Parts: sequence; structure tokens; C-alpha cells
Amino acid sequence: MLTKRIIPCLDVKDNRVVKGVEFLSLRDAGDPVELAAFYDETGADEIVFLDITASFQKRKTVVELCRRTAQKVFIPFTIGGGISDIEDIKVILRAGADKVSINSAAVRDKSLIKKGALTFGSQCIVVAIDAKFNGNFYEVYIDGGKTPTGMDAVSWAKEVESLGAGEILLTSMDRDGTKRGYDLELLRLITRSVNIPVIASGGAGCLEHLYEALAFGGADAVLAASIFHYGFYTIREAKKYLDEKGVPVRLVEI
Amino acid sequence: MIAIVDYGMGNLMSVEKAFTYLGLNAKIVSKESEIKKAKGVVLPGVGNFGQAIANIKSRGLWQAIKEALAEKPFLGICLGMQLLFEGSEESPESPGFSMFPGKFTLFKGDIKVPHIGWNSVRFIKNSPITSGLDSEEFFYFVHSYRLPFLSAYAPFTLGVSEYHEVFIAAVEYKNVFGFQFHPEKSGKKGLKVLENFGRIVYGNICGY
Repeated sequence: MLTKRIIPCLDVKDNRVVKGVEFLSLRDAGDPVELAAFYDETGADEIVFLDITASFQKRKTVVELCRRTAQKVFIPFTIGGGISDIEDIKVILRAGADKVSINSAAVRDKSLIKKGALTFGSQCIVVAIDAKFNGNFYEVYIDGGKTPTGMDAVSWAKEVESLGAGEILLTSMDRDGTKRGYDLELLRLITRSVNIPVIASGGAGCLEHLYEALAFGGADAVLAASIFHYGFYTIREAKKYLDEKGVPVRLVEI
Repeated sequence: MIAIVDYGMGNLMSVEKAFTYLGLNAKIVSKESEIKKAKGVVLPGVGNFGQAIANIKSRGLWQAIKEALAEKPFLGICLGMQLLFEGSEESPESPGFSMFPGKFTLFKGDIKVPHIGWNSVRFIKNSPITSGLDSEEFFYFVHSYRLPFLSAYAPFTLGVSEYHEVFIAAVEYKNVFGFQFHPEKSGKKGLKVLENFGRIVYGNICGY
């Protein structure tokens, strides 16, 4: 039985977690590696680091993050944020990451998905799609949600699949940060259109939202940040809740 | 030393880091002589079957791996396990090591491919490599090709999984072990398997 995945997402800048994280049990909650190890320990299925470091030192800091994480974290981890070319992908995977998540660069140069998949395998190429409803359709945005592309998220999802993407990380910009739940309509549109795993992101405010995305949205995994970081719920509680509702999850005894 | 064979396919670092974390001496090697010297051998791998075989041959590692399969603790992971079989639909023109019978084929049916994520594995026999684990545990999988389980494969099948159908997740014959899943990415249970492999390599020495 294949289980549904729970994926905490850590926003990282200059090798520090941004957006507060409140775990008294951690020595240094600002250290992304320590936090990732904590999530590994408590039952997370994967970790996503969204690296928003902007400096020219970026590549160096990402490599350091990957190296340190690979020493302490023994579940898959993905790096996203500002990946622009095949060299970035190579450097990140070589440093120990299991997957990269590409967003704007994939829209600007579609061949990057294909090249990445052919060179490193589809399994490590995640395409992140940020979508917002424009009254007619869900439109793809890039540059961290700043630039509308005019592209329809559904056709873009199909295209990235055909180009060789292994997974889609789908963020609803309308719901992101609202705690009102994932956009189930968007999720259904995408999960029905592609045959690769879709990770739901944007809007999780309580455990029921995770359940909805997995049970009704067709998502294969749910990504969440604040509900875990602020200690509203532990990963374990989330999994117990989902298990009781009949969603297949990997329960971890601690 | 446990040799992790580098033949230019996939991320070997996570396997090395996992052994290091467990305090076991393991090293990424790419030379025939280093495989020969090793006490145990790990064949990891992600990617295309035919490319993997071609790389192993062009790097002159085929014979050393064959010898290791015959005589020392050996662990194939993911593609590294598939290579121990006769072949794969992925590259019909490239035979594998043929240590085990069977050919891998692409997952079929109304399911998502690749098969990515945590799937339960049911161990159908006892083995030193699964010591300390329950008969059913979750492990992390990433693959598109699989070998459906047949009763004819039972003699060497250690564990099976289900994804639309029952397929082979773990094999064991004498000194050779193979996992379709990634123990190095499967949290504590995966580390346990690697620790057990370390015990098989180094013996049950206190504080090895």
C-alpha cells in the first residue's frame, strides 16, 4: 500500500529558517538542518526547503545546506527557490538533495525540465506551479507570484508531465497563507489531468484541510508550513488523524 | 571497508552518509581494486538500466562485481537490485548480472508512474538483514519498473509490496541482498537495515 505523504516546508534564507518556528525542544530552531532532523524523527515523509537566499553567495549556501542535511536527515529532501539552469540542478543533487523543485526557470525555458529529467531522472525533477484564479481559469504565476504568465495551470501541468517532470508541487496563491484550506477545485482539475504525483500546497490551517486535499482533492501529498512550525499540530497528530479517517499514512512510533 | 560502487549513476552520497551516521566504515569507490579489497559491497543506483550496465562495463567493474556477488556480503539498492536480475524492459538489449531470474517491466494499469513514496513492505521470511524490524514496515520507493511477484520467485524473495499488484521489494540469496526501496531514505527503519548489513559485513562485534 502506497501511503499519502506529509511534507513540512521550511523557508530558508542564508541558511537560517525564516518565518518563526516555535519548538522549545530544539536547541536552535533557526537551523534548517536541526529542524529537518526533528521532522524526520517525528514522522515527516519528506522535507522541502524553499531557499530564498538572494545573494551572489547563493549557490555556496545551498550546497552547504544540502551537505549538512544529508548527514543528519534520512528521508528525501527537496530544494526549491531560484534554480535557474542545469548546472544548479547538478550542484544541488551532487550535494545530497534528492529532488529539485523548479518554477520560473521551467516556464522561461521548458527544455530545462526535459534536460533535467533526461540527465538525472524524472524522479528528481519537481515542477512547482503557482496558480491563481483570474475569473476564467487558473493562471500560472512566476517570480514568486509576482509575474502572471497568461498560461492555464491545467495545460501547463500536462505539458510538464510530458516534458518529464516526476512530480508537481501545486500552490494555490488564492489560499496561500489564509489557513482556509487547500483549493480543492484547483487540485481536482490538476490531479485529474496528469498521471504523476501532485503535492498540494497553500492554505492548510487545520488537520481537516489535509484530509480534504488527500481524500477529495486527489493529492498524493500535502505540504504545510505554519500548522507544524508553530506547534499547532505535530506530524504524528496529523497522521493519527488521517489514519483514523481511513487515509493510508506511514505511522511512526517515537 | 564497505565499498559503495560509483559507476556514474545517481546519488551515492546519501548511502555513504547513512553508513557514516551509523559509525560504519564505508567509502565511495570507482576502481576494480577497491571492490576487490572491500569486506562488503553496495551497488546503489538511480537511472536507466542499459546505461548502468554500459557504465559498469566501460569502467571495467563488471568482473569485480560478479566476483563480489559470489563471495562477500552484497547489497543492491533500487536500480542496483534490478541489475542483479536477468534484464529489464527498459533496455532489452542489456542483460543484467542474472544472479536472480526474472525481467523487470514497466508498472501497468491505472496508477501513477513513477511509483514514488512510502509503501509498506511485507517480509515473508526471517533474515539477519531485517533483524529488529516488524514483518511489515514502510520504506521509501522511487521507481518505474518492477518485477511482479510469482510463486516461482518465492525461494529468493524476502519481501513484497503492493502497488496495483504485488511486486518484489526485497530479495536474499546467500550473501546477496537487494532492495527495490531506498533504505538510506527510509528514516529509522531504513537505517536499521543498513546497520544490519554492517553487522553482516563486520560480524556481531560489540561496538563495531
